[in-house]
Amino acid sequence: MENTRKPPPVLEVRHLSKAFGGLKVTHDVSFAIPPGELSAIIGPNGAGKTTLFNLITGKLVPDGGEVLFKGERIEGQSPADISRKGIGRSFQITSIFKERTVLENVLVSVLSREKKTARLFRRATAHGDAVREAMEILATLSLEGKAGETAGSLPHGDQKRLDIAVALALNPELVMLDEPVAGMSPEERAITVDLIRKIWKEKALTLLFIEHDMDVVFGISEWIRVLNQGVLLAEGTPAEISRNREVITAYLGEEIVE
Amino acid sequence: MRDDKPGAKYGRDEWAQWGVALVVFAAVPLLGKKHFVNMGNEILVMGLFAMGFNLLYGVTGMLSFGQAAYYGVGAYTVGLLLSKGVAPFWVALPATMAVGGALALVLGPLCIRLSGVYFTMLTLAFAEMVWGIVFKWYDFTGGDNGIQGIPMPEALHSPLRYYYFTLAVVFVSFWLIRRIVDSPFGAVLQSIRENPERTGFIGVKVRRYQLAAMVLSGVFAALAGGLFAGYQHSIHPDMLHWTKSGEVILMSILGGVSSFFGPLMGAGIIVFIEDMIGKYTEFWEIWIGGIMLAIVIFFPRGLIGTFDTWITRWRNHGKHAETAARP
Ligand SMILES: Nc1ncnc2c1ncn2[C@@H]1O[C@H](COP(=O)(O)OP(=O)(O)OP(=O)(O)O)[C@@H](O)[C@H]1O
Ligand SMILES: [Mg+2]
Repeated sequence: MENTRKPPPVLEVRHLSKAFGGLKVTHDVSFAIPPGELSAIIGPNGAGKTTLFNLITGKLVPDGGEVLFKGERIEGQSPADISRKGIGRSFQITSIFKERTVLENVLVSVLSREKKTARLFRRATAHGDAVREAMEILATLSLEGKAGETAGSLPHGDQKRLDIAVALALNPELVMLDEPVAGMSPEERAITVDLIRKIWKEKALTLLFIEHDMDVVFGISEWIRVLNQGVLLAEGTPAEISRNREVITAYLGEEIVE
Repeated sequence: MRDDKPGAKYGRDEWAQWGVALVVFAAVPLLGKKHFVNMGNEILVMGLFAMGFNLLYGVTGMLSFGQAAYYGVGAYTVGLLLSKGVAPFWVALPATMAVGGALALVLGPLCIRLSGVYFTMLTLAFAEMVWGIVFKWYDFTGGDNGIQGIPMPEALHSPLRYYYFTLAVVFVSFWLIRRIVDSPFGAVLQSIRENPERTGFIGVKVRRYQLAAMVLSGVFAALAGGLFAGYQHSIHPDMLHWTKSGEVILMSILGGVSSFFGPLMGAGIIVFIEDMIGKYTEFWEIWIGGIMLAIVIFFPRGLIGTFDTWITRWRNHGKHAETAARP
């Protein structure tokens, strides 16, 4: 094999395509993510970033192409199956269990991963190890002080971090975050980005995130992929991307105008 | 927020509710009137039916309009096994649970393919089908004659003894339901209620758990039906009619689907009102249907839930007005 130097990718996407009606939202997209990478996907609104996440995580079935997780084809499988294999994701529009407590949100995810959700008569909260683990995960996102609160009553930023905590509770190898700091104040953004980076490092995760905040993207990414109108326009190191003419015209230019 | 919603820790509140409920029901016969014992029995049976229904609706978020099928099939299990002399009551009553669960295993997969209103319509349609079979199958079920004179064991002949037997069975069931709600399984059901899509993304096969919720709900409904048959000694296809499904929805919504004992309370209120009004009008069941539809349409969160929202809003409004008034 030619790539004996490189470790096999955690995630590989090959010629992935998806159209809604006549609109090609994902167009022959291919890339590979090596283990442990912290990378970003950027691109203008409607570029197909979230759709790409949905195709990888099983929310959408691709029209064509392949998704390989640790070498195994997973495209078209259910979100439940893909999540169990080790891909955890958060959502652009925060997706949590609003009427449940913060702890319960994460605990159910831990119990699901431990395959203990068929248990009928022992109290969920009596599963000491699972509760402890849930609390530890909450602590990594500075939410441990709010464990008993109803999730839906938290401020926006806390809900976004809880969304990430629910994903992390699956103990995933690959974590995919869809605009994890959108709608946060600059201070809260900085704190959350630090937490995310710390978690990535400590848990040796492969982390892929979508983000519009270029300070965040260029601040922490090792690698950046640019989507535009469903096409992977470019990929490279932050330095390479910031110098890429096409990317500047298609996307970064707008940022500067802004 | 009330802290007695399903899944909450056993608050002091809820222990008090268990205590009050047990004492009240245990004391009913002391009133010395046979009529009250009958009513108490009916409230317990309908309460169990409603609490089982709420496992599906209040806990898992699935509005079934076909629970009467399970209730009725439970009643017919007892009725048929006893009147045909196939099995004694002590076997027939547990058998209701197996039959109710089995029926849910058959109908459930057909219903959960759809969600929301469409799920509700399917449950209604299949339940009507079961009702139709029971109604038309004269040779086996007695058709619209129902089954009369169900022979009960000596030990449960006296209404008083049967009442306490029912009380025990129903409260043990309540305790089981409470444990289920608080279990990891119950946590998943509540996650499905809150956000079925996200529940899939934490590795849960949502449909399986929805089916399991239907089975459990069917088990308790059938048990309630079996208890009813043993107490009434006669059963009728009306027990499977959609109005019965509507009644149990109304009870749960009236009492509050997000509080553990809400459905039991609703059962108490409805049985009581039925007893009062039933004497004056035959159209009670049509009224129930109408009221229920109105509630589902205009108060999607249930009466108590909606009032809660209003009260909170009104309080907040008051607070804002207060703070605004302050310099
Ligand atoms: N389920 C769907 N059905 C039809 N069209 C869709 C669907 N999901 C997305 N689209 C369309 O596909 C295009 C890409 O959407 P997508 O959400 O992937 O963009 P995005 O890059 O995440 O944008 P943003 O930065 O605004 O989040 C948009 O034009 C959107 O309207
Ligand atoms: Mg998006």
